Amino acid sequence: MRVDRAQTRSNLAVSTRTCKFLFTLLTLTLLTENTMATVSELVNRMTLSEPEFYLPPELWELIFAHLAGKRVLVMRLVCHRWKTIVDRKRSLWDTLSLCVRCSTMYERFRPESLPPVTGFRMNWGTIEDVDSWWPSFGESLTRINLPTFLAGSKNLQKLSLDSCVLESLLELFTTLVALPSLRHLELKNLRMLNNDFNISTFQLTTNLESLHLNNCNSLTNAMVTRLATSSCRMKEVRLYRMPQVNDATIRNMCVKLPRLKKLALLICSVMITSAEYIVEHAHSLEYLELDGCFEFRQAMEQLLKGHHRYIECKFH
Amino acid sequence: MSTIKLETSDGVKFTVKTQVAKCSGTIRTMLEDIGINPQDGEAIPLSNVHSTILQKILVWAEHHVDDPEPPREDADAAKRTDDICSWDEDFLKVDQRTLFDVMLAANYLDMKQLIAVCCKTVANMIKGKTADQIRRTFNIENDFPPGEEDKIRLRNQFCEERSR
Repeated sequence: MRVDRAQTRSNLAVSTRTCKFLFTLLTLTLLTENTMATVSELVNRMTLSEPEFYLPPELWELIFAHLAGKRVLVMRLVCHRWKTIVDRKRSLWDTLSLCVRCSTMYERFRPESLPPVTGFRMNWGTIEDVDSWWPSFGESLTRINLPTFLAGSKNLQKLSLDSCVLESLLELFTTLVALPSLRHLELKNLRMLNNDFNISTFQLTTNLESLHLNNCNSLTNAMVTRLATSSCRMKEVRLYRMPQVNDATIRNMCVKLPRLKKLALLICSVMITSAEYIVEHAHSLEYLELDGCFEFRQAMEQLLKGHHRYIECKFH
Repeated sequence: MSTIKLETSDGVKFTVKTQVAKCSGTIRTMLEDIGINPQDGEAIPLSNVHSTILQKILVWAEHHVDDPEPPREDADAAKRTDDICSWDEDFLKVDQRTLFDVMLAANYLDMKQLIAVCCKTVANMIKGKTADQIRRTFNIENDFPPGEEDKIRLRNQFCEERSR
């Protein structure tokens, strides 16, 4: 019995040990399987949690192309990557404009998240200091339609355009006619894509008091004359680097501008004959700036003496 | 009818009708320009495509093999997303991951029509959703710093649509 018991005990012990071993093995296998399942699941989850990164930007671009218009605005709210893709794709912005209503864009205006629209519209807005933010925003603009852009700016007094490209002079003239309060116009480095606008058919009347033209080579002599003589209130005309301006322009200005007080003609084609028109016809002229030759200066002085007139002359 | 062999990234070989395989611009170029001779019995390796995806793509190519060359649509017509044919619609009723895999493979294989129909399908998944719903749909993490989203939303309000 004893032996038997002992045997049984040992048998039991053995079987327990085997069981234990088996159990360990089983656990191990289970564990391994579990771990493997967890790892693969993790890998799965890792890739699945960012399926968006699955597609390269060029495929998202193709998808977004179906969602142009205002929908692109929602997409740039989703995440950084989408915003970058959307903002970079110009064609998505073809039909979007920035519209500023009754607000002031001043130097503290932070434009860094302004949508890269292709158009710009303002209603009762004020732009006070554009230098700080316009360059980054303006980069994406392809074209500003001047008449539309300035339409309704009935209180605008001064307009300066530097290095602008216009479709044609018609665009500028239409704009000027629609700005009744405009007193001062400055055009520098103006370029026009299309120069076949027939100005003789256009009646240009403005209320300008001063006109500054600087290096506007696409304006013909006749166009300059038309601009300068568009307002009988004109008091000041400055023409700089305008070699197309000749005696005819000056004669026209002197005859048609009764209130002209200041005239500056620098790097223009001015002949001595112009001195006569100036002294005889520009009755209100008080100040003249020229870069003419010595002969012109002499002629001017003699003429002034002969007509008993005084005009402050500055020769360069 | 001539056939060629294609070998996927996981080593599975497919025997495909040449005409069907030529739905892929990439394979077409290999056969026509580089001059790989399918008669050699050598399989063309497609190292970026898994067999499960290629199988699916071949089903699509088989169905569309006789499609006429798509007309040169104007840009607006190409932007439509409601013109997916019902067969394609059913074909692309798959989980998102498979859809993206099909798209990636179609891109690799240069199958413009399949890419287009996938793009339309994904675009339809985006349409009409808010940014938050889009994030949930595609499992995208909002990685903007706090407050940034509101700032962008504020700027977006300046935008308006104009006629072309």
